[in-house]
Amino acid sequence: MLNVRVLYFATYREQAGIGCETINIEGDNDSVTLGGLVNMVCDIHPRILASPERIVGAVNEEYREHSHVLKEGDTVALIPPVSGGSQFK
Amino acid sequence: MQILWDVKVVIKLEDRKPLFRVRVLESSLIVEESRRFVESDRHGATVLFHGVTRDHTDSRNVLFLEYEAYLPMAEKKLYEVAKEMCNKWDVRVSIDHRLGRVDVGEASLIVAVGSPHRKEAFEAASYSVDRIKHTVPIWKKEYFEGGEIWIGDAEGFRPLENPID
Repeated sequence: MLNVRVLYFATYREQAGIGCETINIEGDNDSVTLGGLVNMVCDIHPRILASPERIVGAVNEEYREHSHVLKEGDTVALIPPVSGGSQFK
Repeated sequence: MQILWDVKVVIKLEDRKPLFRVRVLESSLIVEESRRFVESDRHGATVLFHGVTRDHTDSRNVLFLEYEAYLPMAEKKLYEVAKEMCNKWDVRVSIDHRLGRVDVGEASLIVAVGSPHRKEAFEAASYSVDRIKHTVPIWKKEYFEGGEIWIGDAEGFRPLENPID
């Protein structure tokens, strides 16, 4: 069993209608990856329009690849694209 | 709409003089504060980036912007940007980012860089703005005539890639 806190910001927060939730994952002993969690989140919140594989995630305030394995009590933030842009804009 | 209770100032000390300062705050940004923080008798140049809300984006008339942050991580990432700048160049740095509503003409981001030589000051300042826009979890929502939209570069947002040298 795994408990993680999930934080939503900007577009994802508006689409999901929620800022923060705790997700409790029960089941087999296979580890849960960031990518796996993002997929679950997109299932739970179908109004999030971004494709899960393109959603950038941060675990405990560090950006991580989707292959990153989550631990009990981790805080996962779904990070919508920031303004970026080129230096010549 | 987030309410800030806790404004954090992070100062890195070296030789007993602050090397950089990053702040995230909800009040108006003041350029002179930033300039004064980075000044030094060693410096021959101060470069100031004053990022303000523009009254248009493409053909849209912009009314104001609103900034939202993942606060602890945003501060951490601003700290990392300032630290990278001080590692790459001989500079002193101040980065202020504002949250909440920022009207046309008002500043959302002020970066001040002081250095013995202007080349480094210009390079570091330019680097900082690009780096901030690519790694710091702060988002802006544009309120324009006829609607509102979150601004984001989905294609370009790849924070796990290494900094460009």
